This record gives sequence, structure tokens and C-alpha cells, in this order.
Amino acid sequence: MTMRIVKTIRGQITALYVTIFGITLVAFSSIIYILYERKSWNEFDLSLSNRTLEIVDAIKDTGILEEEILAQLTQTVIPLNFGGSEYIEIYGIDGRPIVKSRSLQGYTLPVDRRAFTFALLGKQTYQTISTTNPKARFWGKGDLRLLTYPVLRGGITEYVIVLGRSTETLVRSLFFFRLMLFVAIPLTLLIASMGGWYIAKKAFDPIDSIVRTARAITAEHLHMRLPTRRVGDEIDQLSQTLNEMIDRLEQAFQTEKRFSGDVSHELRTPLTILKGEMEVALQQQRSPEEYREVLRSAIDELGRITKIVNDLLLLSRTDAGYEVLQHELIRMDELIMDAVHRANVQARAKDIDITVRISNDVEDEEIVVNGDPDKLMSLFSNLLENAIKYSPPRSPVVVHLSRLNGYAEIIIEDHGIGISQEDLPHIFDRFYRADKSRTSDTQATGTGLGLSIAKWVAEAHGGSITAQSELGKGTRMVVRLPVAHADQAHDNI
Amino acid sequence: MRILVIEDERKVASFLKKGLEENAYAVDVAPNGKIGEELALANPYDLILLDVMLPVQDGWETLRRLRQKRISTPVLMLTALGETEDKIRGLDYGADDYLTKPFEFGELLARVRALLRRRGESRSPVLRLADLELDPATHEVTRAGKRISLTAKEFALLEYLLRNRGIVLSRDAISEHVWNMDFNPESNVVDAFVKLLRKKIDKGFDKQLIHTVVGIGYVMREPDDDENS
Repeated sequence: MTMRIVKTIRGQITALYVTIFGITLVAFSSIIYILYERKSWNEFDLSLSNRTLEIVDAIKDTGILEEEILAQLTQTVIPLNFGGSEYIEIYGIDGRPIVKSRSLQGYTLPVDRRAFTFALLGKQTYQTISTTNPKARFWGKGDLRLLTYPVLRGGITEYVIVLGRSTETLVRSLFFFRLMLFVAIPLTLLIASMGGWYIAKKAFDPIDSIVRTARAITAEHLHMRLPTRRVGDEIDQLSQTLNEMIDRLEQAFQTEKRFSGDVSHELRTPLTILKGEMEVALQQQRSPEEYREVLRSAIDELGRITKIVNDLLLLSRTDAGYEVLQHELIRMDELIMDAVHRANVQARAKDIDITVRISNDVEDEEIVVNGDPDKLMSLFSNLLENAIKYSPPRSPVVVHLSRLNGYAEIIIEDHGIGISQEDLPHIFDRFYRADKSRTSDTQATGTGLGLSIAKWVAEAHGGSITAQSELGKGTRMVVRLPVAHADQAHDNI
Repeated sequence: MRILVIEDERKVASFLKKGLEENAYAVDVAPNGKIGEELALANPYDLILLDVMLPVQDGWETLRRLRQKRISTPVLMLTALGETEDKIRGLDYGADDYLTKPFEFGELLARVRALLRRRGESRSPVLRLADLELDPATHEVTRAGKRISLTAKEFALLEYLLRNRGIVLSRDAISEHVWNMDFNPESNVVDAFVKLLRKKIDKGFDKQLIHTVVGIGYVMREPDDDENS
């Protein structure tokens, strides 16, 4: 569970937030505490030093050093700031105690020799005597803070005042301060982490809803979209970006689905014919001529299947980028004449005349294209085939070849049935058939892939193919191919 | 039994027509949805074979429009779309059955028989009247256990009469269900075929099963007692 929380960004943000806040808090508290502790000790020492001055004053006033005075001092003269016990001893410079406060109850303050020596030299010394000191257990709990203070006359130590006071109250107040910090810091961090978690949750809730919706959007539910709140914040932008991505996905998916549906349809039709004709033929005894007819038809259908499979294979290779073009220098006028020559067989069957017009400048200098002769031949054969197929008998088909801004422009023009404006943008799509209404009465030849392949060939050569058409008047297919550079042309031909 | 085939693929339509006609059905072919719809509205077909991907008006639309115009002829959809959702859509639009291309011709014939059977009151695949039996699947006709050999047209005529036994059928009704559009309504082909059929079915039997209703047409039924006496 913990691992899961830390794995979420929400958990990570909370953890990071709590860590930073915790470090800040601990550092801040430590500094405050250190400053406070130092100040407390300074004040403690200052009060000790003030006390000794009071004692000195009292002694100077009265001129005597007696226990009574000390007793009075400890009890009445100045109330103790910190409460607790105060112990006073006054030594002569020979190290003998002159007088002791009553609070000592006969004990001796643990003054060490060093401090006393310093006092004789006119220096005061602060020291802390631990409770662990075996000589000194009389003052009860807490350490004892000792001030060894020399009283000088004319620069020479006259006597030494030793003032002791228990630090218990101070230590206890510092202890409580620490205790408070130790309790308060984790408590604050706990609250902060809850707050951080809440804020992170608030920030990530919309993302959660995106995740949930996105999870529901599978291949079957691509029409679903992520909700946008139309406030234009980061989450909205994310949703919109994802929605646009899903749009493209859906489109790609539908294209893919339509494509596979089309492939299936195109393949199933000849298979249906093969199977159906053969089964019907086997229903009863037939004449040899009837069997021959069935076999001829079967060969036609197998040819159709083979062509579809080959075209599909070519297209899938072009999609995958496997299909590589040959590069040869080709004279366009020769290629066009060759393609027209091949198409003439079909054209003659419909009494169609194919005229080739080559512009004058081409006759002066041949147009040479660097490309794949087989692919280009299939491109022009395909266009000519279409022109013949969709032309009425005895109507002309014209092929123009000219040079245009570094391109060879080939126009194939027919006076056939034409393509409607609504079909025109789709004719290069795979399996798109603009001639839906005609498949019934003419033999539906072609695979529906010819123009897709033609487009690929033109574009793979760095050229283009476009169609202009008017329903009932005819179609102009315009192919542009870049002309090979002059030096290439002359070097190689 | 007369069947309308709405199919744009010339060769598919052609083998369907040939195969069905050899099984004693009268077959008309429509090359697109629009023509199919017009034919279905004009003629009393017993069954429609409908392709989905059709030019001009697709199969779904054709089916929808036919059902909207209260044409309740059984429809068997034939299509290259084999997805379950397409089948569901077809059946929801009012198709009675669905066959994915490519199909077994034998299966198609079986489904055609099943759909025609479903139409009549008889659920039994074998049609019976008195001691006469006709099996649409095997094309076997027997009378009193004896096999009778019929031509395809004779068989079709007998099947139609038997499916409508007890009902007086006009010559027009008979020609519309047994012959296709090439039938010439001026001719007396129906009478001629009934005569041929009578010769094979009733000749040599006491009970006459095919009766002439003067001025109307023909009916198949068991003879009334007084008729026999």
C-alpha cells in the first residue's frame, strides 16, 4: 500500500512537500532553540553576576560580613528570579571561608582551585557543577552554576564571593521547550502531509477522471471523448490534446477497418464466383463446352485474385517503405509511345483512337526522367486503361507531353463518363470506386487499387498526379514528373 | 416458387440464376438495389436473395424500403461482410436469414427451402396431399409409394400447387410464382403444363388431385365424396 502511494505522483508530491517542510521546520526550530538556550544561559549568568554586585553593595553598606546579612539577602533583599535555592560563600584570599549562607546547611560549595586562583588574579569564573559530582549532592536536582567573583580593592583581590544557584528551573524550562518542539514538529508535519495530500489530490482529481475515461476508450469505444470543462487550464489542454489524438486514432482505425472490409469484399467476390460456378456445374451432367466455360471463368477469377494480391502486396511494401525504385534515365516520349502502343489492343476493341501530342520544345530537346521504367509504364498503362474503359466507343483519347518548369507534364484526356465532384477527391483512395453505378452492366475489371498505385508511383518519383473531371464530359489526368538534370541526361545517354 | 436475386456481380448473379433454375425455381435478376426494389414491388416473389454492397441503393436500404412498403417476402441476405454486427443489422432490418460469401451452394439451397417452408403453414419439409408426396430437398415425387419423374418446370408447378393446396389459384398467380419475367402472359403455357402434370400425377388413380375451376384456374385438393361417386 505504502509503495503504491509513493508510486503515484500524488504520493510523491506529498512526500516531497512533507520532506521539504520537515527540513525547514527542524532547521528553523533548531535555530530558535539554540538562540533561546544561549540567551537563557546568558541571562542566568547575568543574574548571578548582578547578585554578587548586590552582595558587594550590601557588604559595603554595612561593612560587615556576617551570616545574618547573607541570610537576609537570600531571603528578602532581592527576590530570586528563578526561585529555587541560592548558595553563597565568601572566602578570604587565604582560601578560608569567612561566611556561608544558611541555605548551605553546613555544606561547602565545590569551588575548584583553578577558579579560586583566577579569582585571586582578579578574574571571575563561571562553571557548572554536574549533579554527578560526588562532593555536591546537597542542592538537589539539576546542575549547580557557580560564579567565583573576586571583590577588589585598589586592584587587589580582597575577598572572593562564590555564588551558586541550581539550574534546575532553567534546565527544566529548556527541557519543556524541547519537548514541545519534539511533539509539535511531528504533529505539524502530520497535518502538513494531510494538507499536502489533499492539495495534490485536488490537483490530480481531474487527471484521475481523464485516466478513467481514457481506460474506457478501447478500440470498440473510440467515439468516446474526454470531458473538457472549457476553462482552458492545463487539464483542459491535456484533455483537448488527448481528444485530438483520439480523433486521429479513430480516423486511422476507421480507415483501417474500411480497408480490411474492402480487401475482404474484393477477395470474397471472385472466391464466391469460383466456388459457386463450380458447385453449380457439378449439380448435374454437363456438356464439355459448359465445363470449358466454367474453367475459363475460373481462370479469369484466379487472375483477378492474383492481381488484387499483387497490388495489395505492392501497396503494403510501399507503406512499409520496402518498395525500392529503380533509377534509370528514361525518355518520356518513348515511354508514352510504348504505353499507348500497349493500350491500343483494348482501344481498338472499342474503336477508340489514342492520339499523342508532343509539344514542339520537346522535339527540340527530349524530356528525360530519372525513374523506374516498369513502375512508370504501369502508371501510364493504368491511366490509359481507365480512359478507354470509361469512354464510349469511337470517342478520342488524347495524350499530351510537354515541359513545364522543370517537370515533364503528361495529360491523358478522355471524353468518357467523367467523375462527379463528390467522388473526385476520393478517386486515389484505395478501393474507392467512383463507377459504382457501372459495375453492374460492364465487366467490373480492375482491383480498385490502380489509381492508389499510380499516385504512389508519381509521388515516389517526386512528382504528382491530379484529376480534373466533369460528369458526362470527360476526365483529364495530369501527371507531373521532375525532369532529370541536363548533365545527368547527357552523361548517360 | 419464384425467387428474386438482387446482385450486382454479373457472374455471381448468373450462377445463382442457373443453379436455382436447375432446382426448379423461377429466377429474376436485378443488377442494383433500385431495380431490385421495383421488381419486388411489381411481382409476388416467394423469396428474395439480397446482396448488401449494391450500386445505386445498397442492400440495407433496399430491405428497409421493402419492409416499409409492407413487402413481407422472406429475404435471405448474401454478403461479403461477415462481421457479426452486419448480421445483426441485417436481421434487425427485417432479413430472415444471412449467408456470408463465399457460401456452399448446397447450404444456400437448404436455406432457401427452409425459408419457403417457414412461409407456408406446413413445417414438415415433405409436402403431402392424400397419397401424393413431394420432397423439395431431394426433388422426389411419389404417388402411392411409386416414384414419378417430373421435369424442373413440372416439379415447380406441382410444388406451388401443393404449397397452396385447397386454395383456388388463378392462371396469373401460377405464372407469377412458377415462371420468371420472360413468361408471356398471352400464352396458354400454364394450361399446357397443368395438362402435362395431370397426366403424370392423376392418370391411373381413382382420386383426382388436380381440379379445374372453370373461369378461374386450378386447385389441388382431395376430391369431395360426391365428386367421387
